[in-house]
Amino acid sequence: MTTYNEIAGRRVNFLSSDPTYVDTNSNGQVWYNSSTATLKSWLPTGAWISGGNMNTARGRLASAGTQTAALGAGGYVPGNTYTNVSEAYNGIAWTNTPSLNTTRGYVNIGAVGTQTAAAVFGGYTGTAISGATENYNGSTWTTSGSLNTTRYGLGGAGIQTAALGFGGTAPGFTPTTATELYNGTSWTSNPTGLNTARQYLAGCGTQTAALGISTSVESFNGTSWTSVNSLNTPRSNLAAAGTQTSALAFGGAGPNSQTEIWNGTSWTSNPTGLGTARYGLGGAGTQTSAIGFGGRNPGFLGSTEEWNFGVYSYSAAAWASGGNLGTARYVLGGAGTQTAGLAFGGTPGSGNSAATEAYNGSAWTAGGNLGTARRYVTGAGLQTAALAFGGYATNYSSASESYNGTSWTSTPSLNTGRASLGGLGIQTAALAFGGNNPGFTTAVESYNGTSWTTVTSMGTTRYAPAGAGTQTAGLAFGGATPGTTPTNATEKYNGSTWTASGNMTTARYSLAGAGSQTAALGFGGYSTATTGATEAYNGTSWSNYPSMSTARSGLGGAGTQPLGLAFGGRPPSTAATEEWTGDILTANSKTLTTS
Amino acid sequence: MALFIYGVASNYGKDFFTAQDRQNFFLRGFPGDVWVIGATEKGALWLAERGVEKTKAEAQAIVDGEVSKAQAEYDALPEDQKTNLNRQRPTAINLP
Repeated sequence: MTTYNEIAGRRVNFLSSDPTYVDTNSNGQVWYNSSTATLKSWLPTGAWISGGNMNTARGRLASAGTQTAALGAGGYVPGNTYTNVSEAYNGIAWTNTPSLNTTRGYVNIGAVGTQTAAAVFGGYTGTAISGATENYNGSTWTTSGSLNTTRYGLGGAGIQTAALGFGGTAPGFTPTTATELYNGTSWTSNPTGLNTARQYLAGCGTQTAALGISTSVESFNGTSWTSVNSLNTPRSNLAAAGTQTSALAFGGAGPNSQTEIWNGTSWTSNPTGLGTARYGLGGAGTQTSAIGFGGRNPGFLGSTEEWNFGVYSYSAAAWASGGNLGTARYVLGGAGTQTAGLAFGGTPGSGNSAATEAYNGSAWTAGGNLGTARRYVTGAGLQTAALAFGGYATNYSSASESYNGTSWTSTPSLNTGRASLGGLGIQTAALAFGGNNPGFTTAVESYNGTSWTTVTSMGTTRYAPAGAGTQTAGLAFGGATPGTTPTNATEKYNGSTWTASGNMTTARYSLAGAGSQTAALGFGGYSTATTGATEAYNGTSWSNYPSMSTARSGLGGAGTQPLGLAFGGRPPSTAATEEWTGDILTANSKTLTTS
Repeated sequence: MALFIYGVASNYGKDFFTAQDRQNFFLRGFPGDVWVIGATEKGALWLAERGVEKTKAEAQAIVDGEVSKAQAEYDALPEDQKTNLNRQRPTAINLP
């Protein structure tokens, strides 16, 4: 009898509970859960979810890039006309880029290159079949060498400097088998072509290891094409992503919503397909992380769908409304966690507030008042062990107070009184940085539970920055530099020195922060207008995430990167609270039975 | 008992439908912002939050209208474009 070890190259584990660690090698892992007496395995699943809509709905467009950095260019639009519009996708939204030089649709099908190094070739202009090739460098489209065989509806694969074009319809409107290789400058005809001449086939892979997919499927090895197993539902006008041995085919004529997964030998239909069946769509990415956009159903679509496949199911990050503050206010201080938050100080619009409120995950309850009512205050610590420091009372304040969950007690003052400063850390190990008094300052002070000590200044002078992390692993980001210029500068602090790190996407001040030095969250603030923009930091760079429902600056913040809390802010003075839940990956398992 | 509910909802993009939604209920989009949704509590809630429920006949009429519009667009194409670009006249779409 064949054993699982012989089949899968791994043994069935005997465990008292389901494994807690899952990685890309976990697909196919089988284990016996002795507590529940069940034989289980991870369940790979794939699903399309909605993404941001394109600005220009269209079909027959070119594509490039990845799921979170895609490019769509050209296409066929309503009114039997064609477009040269090009758009870039950042995983959230599409933004117009400079346009193609040659307006056309029915261009290469299959991503060629990246968002900042793409190639588009062939197509139909509305009056003529085109052989034009254009290279994109992230800022401009430049016309390059034309295809030797002018054509439209051809397959494409590879990268900008090593691309492959094949099939399509040539002058005389006859399907062709012609295959050409592109080196970034010019095309060279391959001695042999596809086995079956055809149009509207999708390509994926590389110049020397590609797949051409339509009503039949062929594989290219850099020299010649070989017929391989067909799709379960053979069809043209579809999109593809991935590699020659690990591909994804989706959508197609019909319109069709089906998604099929290629393992190098055969196609497997995924139980669920695109949310919206469509043909003539753009596609890019990998077998496990793809994107489909545009197309027709037969209406013209601008909608985008994102595909994720793995043992994980994915729940996208989002802000949800929480209970309102009892006192609407802004430029307040914050501390604590999402389910045990603390708000203090600020102003409701006139005068200073001493009010403190505690959040339990659903509602705010009044706590003890600050000893010094003040606005532009900042804080650190937890709901029952917080520290409030700096701010503006009747002048720039150096006051520092500690909170025990019930009442505030004065602690030794800051050396430099200031308002709109940044803060991070805990009650007994905090850091105060930046702010104004009234000039902007780079001054940094460290608190040890007993006194504040001036330490190494930041590299960037800034007003109203945000902070995250600890006294020895801190992060300062955003703020305004002299001239009230919003900054996106980020600096890391190791307890003795500051080091510049990746910039925020959106420069802004009066924002809020949460989390740690390697997993921070920045949200809200003022850029060129009040913003609800949210960004997450991974220790190196910032990524955009969904915005708060209520754009605001001068807000309070608390929590962690996966579980954040935003409260208060302006304009106008708001009591609104929002709770942030970051991306959630859940490992899916199934119980194996004999039936 | 009906397998599906029908509705009209404009796809606003990100998070219009999530992976969790796709796991929780059947969901498929059609022309005219028509969506066919599995007749479950979660499916009904999804539609209630995003659009307006229609009867199957109402939803089919919207789809028919969109297909008719696309057919008229196709019919208006010059003959050479119909032939040369191998375009197919859009066919009727029947909702499940």
